[in-house]
Amino acid sequence: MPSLSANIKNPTSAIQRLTLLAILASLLIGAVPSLGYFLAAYYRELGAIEAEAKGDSFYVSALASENPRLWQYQQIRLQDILDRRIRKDIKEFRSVLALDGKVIAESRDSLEPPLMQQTYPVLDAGRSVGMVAIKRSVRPILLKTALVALLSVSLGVVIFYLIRIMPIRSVQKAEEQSRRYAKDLEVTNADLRAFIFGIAHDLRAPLVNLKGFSSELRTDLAEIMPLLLRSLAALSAEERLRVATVLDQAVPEALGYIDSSTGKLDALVNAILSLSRIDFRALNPELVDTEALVQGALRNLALTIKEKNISVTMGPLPAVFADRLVMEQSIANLLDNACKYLEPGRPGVISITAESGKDETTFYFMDNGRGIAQDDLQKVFEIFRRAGIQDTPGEGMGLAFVKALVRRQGGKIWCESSPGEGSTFCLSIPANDGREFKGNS
Amino acid sequence: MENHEHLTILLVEDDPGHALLIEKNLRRAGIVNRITKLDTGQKAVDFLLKKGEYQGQEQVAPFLILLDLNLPVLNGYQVLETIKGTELTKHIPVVILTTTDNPHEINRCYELGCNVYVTKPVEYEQFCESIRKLGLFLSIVRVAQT
Repeated sequence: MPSLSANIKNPTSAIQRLTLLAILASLLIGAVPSLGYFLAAYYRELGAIEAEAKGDSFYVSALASENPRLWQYQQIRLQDILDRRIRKDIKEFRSVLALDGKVIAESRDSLEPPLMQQTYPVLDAGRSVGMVAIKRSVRPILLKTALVALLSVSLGVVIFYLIRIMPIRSVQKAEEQSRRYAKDLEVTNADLRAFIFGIAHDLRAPLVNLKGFSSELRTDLAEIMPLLLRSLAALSAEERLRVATVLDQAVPEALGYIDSSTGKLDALVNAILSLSRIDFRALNPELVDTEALVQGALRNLALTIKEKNISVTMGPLPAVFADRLVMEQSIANLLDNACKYLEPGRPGVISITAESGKDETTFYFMDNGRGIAQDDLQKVFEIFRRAGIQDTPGEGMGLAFVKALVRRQGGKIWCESSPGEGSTFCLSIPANDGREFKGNS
Repeated sequence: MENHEHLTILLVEDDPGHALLIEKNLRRAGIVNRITKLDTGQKAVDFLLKKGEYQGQEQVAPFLILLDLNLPVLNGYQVLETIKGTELTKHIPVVILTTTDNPHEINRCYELGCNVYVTKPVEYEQFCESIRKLGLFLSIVRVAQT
């Protein structure tokens, strides 16, 4: 059964695009805040360290200016400068380095890697004589970044859910619902078919009686007729006339109406039964040579075609993957109709052509017959309905039958017509199975 | 030879009209045997197995059963199954008379052991013909038995 999503053009790519969008959005939301936070915090920290280094360097520079030669040996004072910290809670590694990188003094806490460092030169009269370096651990920033990342990734997951999963859930839900409706409909249809089949079948029993007993009446009447005729002699002329009217006219007329009506009823019941049986018969799809079927149908109509002097042309017709019987009966029926409903007095022209589309093959049965009025275009496919002048025998079953057959096959049938000019019956059969079939064989 | 006319035909048919038509046509075809008519499947089974309302009654087993499929209480298939599954009755020929011409149902009847299947066509002439042929067939059977 075709699902709802199958009707949306290319649903897979729509879902893929949606998924991609959801992943991008959630990644962006997950990554950007943490990255931003990290960079901001890192540079703020670097700035803070630089300020500290600058401060220390100010004091060390003062020391250096005071005693340019020996400042490097004033360990205690240098140590004192390095140990002097505003924030005792932040672990740091401060050092004073000589120009060659040699450590002159240091104040170190134990730091956990990774580390960040900032230096500031020690100046003596504008000349760099050494440097102050301060290191801090990046770990606290990383921990906080991880926290931010955790939050933003959760936000990303929520966004992903909102963008990707929610719409698909609702689509799936809608699809499931439509599947359920379709199934309900199928069950209802099956019930209805069984009901119609049952009714049609049950109508047969009373029909047997109606026909049977009207025939019995006829037999009985025939049996008593000689006796009645003999007793007629005893009646007056007027009475004789009345009896004769009843026996010769009224009774046979009544029986005639009963017979013709039961005959009609029987035809209807049989039509309904055969229409219902279409649904019971299993389809057997195969590659069908439609040209051969058309030629076969034309051979059966050869007498009519010759009598009415109809010219028939057949374009190249592609083979279709379908049930042979469905195709055979549909084609035979459409051609039979085309020959039947020609305009009297105009040479008949019938053409059969086909068009292979991507998803379906459409056959066109075109005639130059009497045509069908716009209002009747739907009616001709209804059961027991016949349109136009009723001068041709038929029980009005043909097209209803063809429509049921074709629909069972998954195809469509419709009619285009201009009254007085002719009609074209279009029969389309889905082509996808056929391609698979050809691919497999 | 002197006994065959006392043999009974059992006609199981719920539609009294059909039963009457069948009987009339059998008579017209020359069948003179007693025809016992029953209108439900249950009665047919009870009659054959001498149960229920037929318990204790001295019944002559019919030599032929004409059975409709569409019966109330027990349908024709169930009756047929019972007849063919019971030692006492399984030798009695069964003719299925019904309006169904569905091949599945016909096959099912033959699988269950029915001997002849006759569709009740709405065409009265055909119907009479079927019944007459049946009558003829019965005469042959009757002659063959004696």
